[in-house]
Amino acid sequence: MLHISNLTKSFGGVKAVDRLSFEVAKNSVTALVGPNGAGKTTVFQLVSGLHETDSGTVVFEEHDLLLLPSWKRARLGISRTFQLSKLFKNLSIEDNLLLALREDDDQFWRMFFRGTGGDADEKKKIHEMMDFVGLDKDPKTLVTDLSYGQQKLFDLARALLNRHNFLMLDEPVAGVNPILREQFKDLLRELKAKGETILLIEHDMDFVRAVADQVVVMDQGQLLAQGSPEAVFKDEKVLEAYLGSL
Amino acid sequence: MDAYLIHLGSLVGIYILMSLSFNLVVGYTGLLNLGHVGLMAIGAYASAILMKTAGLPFAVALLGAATLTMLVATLLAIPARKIRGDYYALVTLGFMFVVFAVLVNWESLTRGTLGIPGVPRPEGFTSNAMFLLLVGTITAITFWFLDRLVNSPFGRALEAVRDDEEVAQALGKPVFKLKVIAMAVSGFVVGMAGALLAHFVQFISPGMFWLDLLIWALAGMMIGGVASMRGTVLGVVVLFCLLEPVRFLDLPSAYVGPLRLLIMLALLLLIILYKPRGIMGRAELEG
Repeated sequence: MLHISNLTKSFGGVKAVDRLSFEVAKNSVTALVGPNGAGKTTVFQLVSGLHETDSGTVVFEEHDLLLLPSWKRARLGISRTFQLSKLFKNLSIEDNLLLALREDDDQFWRMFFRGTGGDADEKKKIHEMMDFVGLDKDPKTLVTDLSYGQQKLFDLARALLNRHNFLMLDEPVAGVNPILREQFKDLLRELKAKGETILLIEHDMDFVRAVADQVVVMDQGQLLAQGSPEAVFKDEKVLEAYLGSL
Repeated sequence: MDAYLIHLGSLVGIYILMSLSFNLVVGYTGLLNLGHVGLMAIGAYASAILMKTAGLPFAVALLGAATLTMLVATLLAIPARKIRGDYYALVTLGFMFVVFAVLVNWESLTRGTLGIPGVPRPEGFTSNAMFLLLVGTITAITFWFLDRLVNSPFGRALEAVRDDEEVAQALGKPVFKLKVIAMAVSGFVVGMAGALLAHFVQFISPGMFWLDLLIWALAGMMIGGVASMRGTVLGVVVLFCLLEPVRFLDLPSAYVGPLRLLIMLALLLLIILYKPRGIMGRAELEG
């Protein structure tokens, strides 16, 4: 589904991503792991088009992503979350989620006579999604009133509501409490069972083991290892250099 | 007194148009366009020249001026593709200085610092009362249009751009297109405001479109409410209510202007410190 080949990105003299190649298969969960500064989030930024690529190719379902602006990549069905939850901070939960639901709100005249409140179908989808992720809040609540953990759940809900066939989750359980972490684990298993294709950045290796089909290990922008969680976590090179605690 | 209030009414309407269009771009879209007054000057000069020099009817001059301003505003949106925040503010402030320099130096067209006197009023609207009716009608229609716009899904998409461009793009919003449309609509409205000012005062000069007018637009928005069209109307009315009585104080006329500006700046400071969203605002700008 996603083919990354020789992807390279430098910031000044630092090579954040260095000739990285890997693939993500359809209906699978791939975990992108590695120490801090390995370049994982940069890969997300490059795939979603929020950073410009120096060289390499990124092909998503036969589309050369590097030829497309970020918003067009999203409309191909690439949806993502961010390492630190990024919110439309002056808007309510409902407004944030409606922005994810609607693709045509940039159509000036078509939108002119429509109110901002969602229709019954949209409200139902929002309600169901909030239920699904376990976000028990009034949709009219301002997003900044959510706790850190709730913001993480909200971020996942927004990414899921955004029409997609490929999900990129950047450290969904970073900094959340153990109970919420288990909740996220169950959610991802459920998404996996539904056939979602997910690329996930995560530092918690138990979490990765529990949900991932494939693990891609990065170090200093380069690919270090790739394979099933069992194989990768037995790889001495990986164990010694980066996952010593396992 | 009635004549004075009628005169004031037209000015209030024109300033409301200026502040509404400013709020659309700054308050809703997050583009700190400090060239807003430069755009207003373009509308004013274009309409004055089209009617006085070219002899075109008022409606054509007004719409022509607004359209020209819209086109210039669209061009002014181009840097927003790459530049954000304070940097965009600097670029647009530079634009205002450029407009001012052109108005001062292109004497064959603008008469430079002498300005253009005798800008005609439209036929049938030569009295202040009739002109107030004209301004009131245009302001009411524009308010309805902008209020409708910002309360549509399109308006929410603009707010998404203001709050976080990266997330907006990641959700499939064409951020640059949204900015361009916001600038174009804002340009059309402020172009109309400039044109109406020119025909109302019947005289324009480059000095009328300077930083003090920009502070008016900013204060109208900040006091009334960032991202609130109704708040903007309230903000402008509050400002007029507070500033106009200064004219009746027993002060030398040279002190009146600076004192009004001082009061406006003090209000602006208080609002920014204690109520950064303004009276009816829905958003807080990054500062």
